[in-house]
Amino acid sequence: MAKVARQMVEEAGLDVNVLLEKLIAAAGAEFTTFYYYTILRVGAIGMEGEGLKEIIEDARIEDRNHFEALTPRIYELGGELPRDIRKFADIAGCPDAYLPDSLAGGKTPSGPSTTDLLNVLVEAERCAVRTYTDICNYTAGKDHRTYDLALAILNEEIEHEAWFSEFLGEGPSGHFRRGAPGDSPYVRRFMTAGS
Amino acid sequence: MPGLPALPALPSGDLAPGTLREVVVDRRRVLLARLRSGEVCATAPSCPHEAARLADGTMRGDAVDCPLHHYLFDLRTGRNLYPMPVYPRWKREEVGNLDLRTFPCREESGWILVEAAGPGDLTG
Repeated sequence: MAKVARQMVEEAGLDVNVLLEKLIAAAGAEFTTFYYYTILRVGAIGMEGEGLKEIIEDARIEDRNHFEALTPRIYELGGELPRDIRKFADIAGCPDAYLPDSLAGGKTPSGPSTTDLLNVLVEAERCAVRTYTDICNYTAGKDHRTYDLALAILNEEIEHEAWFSEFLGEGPSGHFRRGAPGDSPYVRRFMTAGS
Repeated sequence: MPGLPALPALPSGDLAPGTLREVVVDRRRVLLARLRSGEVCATAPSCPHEAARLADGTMRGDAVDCPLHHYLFDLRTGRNLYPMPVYPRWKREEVGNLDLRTFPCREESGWILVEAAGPGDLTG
């Protein structure tokens, strides 16, 4: 725990317990999404699926990076991750990104089932965009470190949403995929251990 | 079938555009929302997923964003805007369609009136 760092946030008028709830729910969503995206990426096969596989992998690895970047801040502020991973999944702040029925049993995405897959992906990203917008709004001008981190994550989540949205025919994302899988151009600077 | 009596829930002036407010109408908790257009909507106060208090959520356009799992509900219709058809069947059977109950409401003589009689549980 970083006592003075927490004190600064409290003195700025933030309820640190509320902030911790938001951060732990966000970390849970990142962790579970990393898990679900593994299944979705595995299912992205065939002529249509292969085109999605690389950006699913970028988003998957970056969501894991977000979990890694959020965790130290939770402990700095005096919080902790749930000790039971089942509880962690239950309090995750976004709906589960389940493999759609249309792709069960290793079916190859095609037509409507590709749209199902993309809808799962884009809705997961949209939830994340709402989550980090909420954390940015909550911390703006009061908790500079959490704000900076949440803003970095928000930047990546918005790009993920735009990638999947582009495949759904909602318009161009305006940017290209990562140079290396899960590069995390915005969040990388918060990942100070070993990388 | 005649509707329920419309009961006063809140003075109209106490609900600004783009805001949410939880009130009690005839022992039933109700969420009131005033859309940016000025239209007032009344719904159940708690998320049908895990009963989070929606008054603590955020309005996104004409929808409320649940503070717990960020499900979005259309405040006019109560429809869960998450594309539930992409949920696997076994999960849909477990959780239902997760729509939010709505109540008829209107404004009259400076008051918001809601048809919501009787004691209500968390999800209305």
